[in-house]
Amino acid sequence: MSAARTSLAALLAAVLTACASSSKIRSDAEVIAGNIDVARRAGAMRCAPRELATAEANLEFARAEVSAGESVRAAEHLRDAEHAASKALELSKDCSAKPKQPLVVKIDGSDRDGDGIPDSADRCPDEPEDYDGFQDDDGCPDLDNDNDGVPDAQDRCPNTPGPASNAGCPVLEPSLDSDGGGVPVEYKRVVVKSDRIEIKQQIRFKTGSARISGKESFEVLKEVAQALRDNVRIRKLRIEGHTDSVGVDAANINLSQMRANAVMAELVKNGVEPSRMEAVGYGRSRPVASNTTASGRAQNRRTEFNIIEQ
Amino acid sequence: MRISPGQGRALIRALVAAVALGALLGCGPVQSTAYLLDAEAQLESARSAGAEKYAPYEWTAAQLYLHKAREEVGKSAYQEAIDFADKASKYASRARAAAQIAAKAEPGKDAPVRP
Repeated sequence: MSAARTSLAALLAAVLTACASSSKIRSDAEVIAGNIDVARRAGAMRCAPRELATAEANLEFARAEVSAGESVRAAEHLRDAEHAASKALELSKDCSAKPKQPLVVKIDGSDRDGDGIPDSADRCPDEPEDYDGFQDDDGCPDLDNDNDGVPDAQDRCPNTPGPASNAGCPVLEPSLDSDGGGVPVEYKRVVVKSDRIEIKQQIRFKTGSARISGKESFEVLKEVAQALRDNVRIRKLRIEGHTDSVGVDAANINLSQMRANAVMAELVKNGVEPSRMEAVGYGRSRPVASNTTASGRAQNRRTEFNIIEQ
Repeated sequence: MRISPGQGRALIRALVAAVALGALLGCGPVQSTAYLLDAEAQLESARSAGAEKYAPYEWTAAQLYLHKAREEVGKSAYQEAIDFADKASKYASRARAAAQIAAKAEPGKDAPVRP
């Protein structure tokens, strides 16, 4: 009887462990998919094609393996995907607006300009598409996406019109310009300071995961994105992930990195140029309060937005 | 030795069952092998066209999918192997086409000659 109970408990534990593991793999996969998306938008197709392909393929393999119940193999693929996605992000940071060669190719009939889009579907059959992530399917090069007269190669905001005097970025009205001598912008959930963007409420994540949770967290990130769009003086923002001292160091660093990546992916979704940000996970190494009390640990589990270049 | 009508029917049934079983067991490995061979041929063709240099995204994806297809065959997961091999073929085909166009577009260079 006792042996049967022990066996049953062991079986239950095994099932629960497998479920937890699968669920973690699935949530991690979501975060990595977000990173891949960020890398793609940043131009990884041009600047890190091998890494992008490796990340995407391994992510698909991981999902297939987890569906087949092969959690261990899925985790291996996920690690490869994560590594490749990080590398793709790194290589795409300074990805130039102009591609070296066309990489997306559709073959069907003749293609006079050799841009991979057949003449029958090419609106500019004699001018090759520039594959800059903006209207890349029409076959016409878009050398100035926002038509502001500043060529994309010199435009710091290639998809938002602005004068050449402001590097192609929009000049804000004085009432909205927190760094132009006017009245500082009033945000509900964030405060733009000289060295950081302070958030009034912490970003929340699912326990042990890098999935952002809670409507409020997304609202905060929307405002961070808005603040970044409004403050063109902020050239580089470091998104920092920090944890408390509970758990293994390596796991904390990994989790904080993934959470910082997830926050960056959300900001990109909200229209912030990936080249203006970097995500760093510090784990438990930079506490702001004592880890011996619950409230101190809560303060240490945080996301920071520090301005590192302006 | 004479076979009675009852024995004959039983024999036919056994034969049909054996053939069906053989088909079921044999179909997966045969089909997946065919897909793998096709993907390998497509990859070789892409390599000859210079895909490694001119279409690195498609080339890398094709290689990874082919590798994964082989791994699935090793686990007797034939349907998954077929799916991955099919993707490998498609990526390799795109890589070859892209490489041919890119090589033509590159000034002063002709596309590599296919063997």
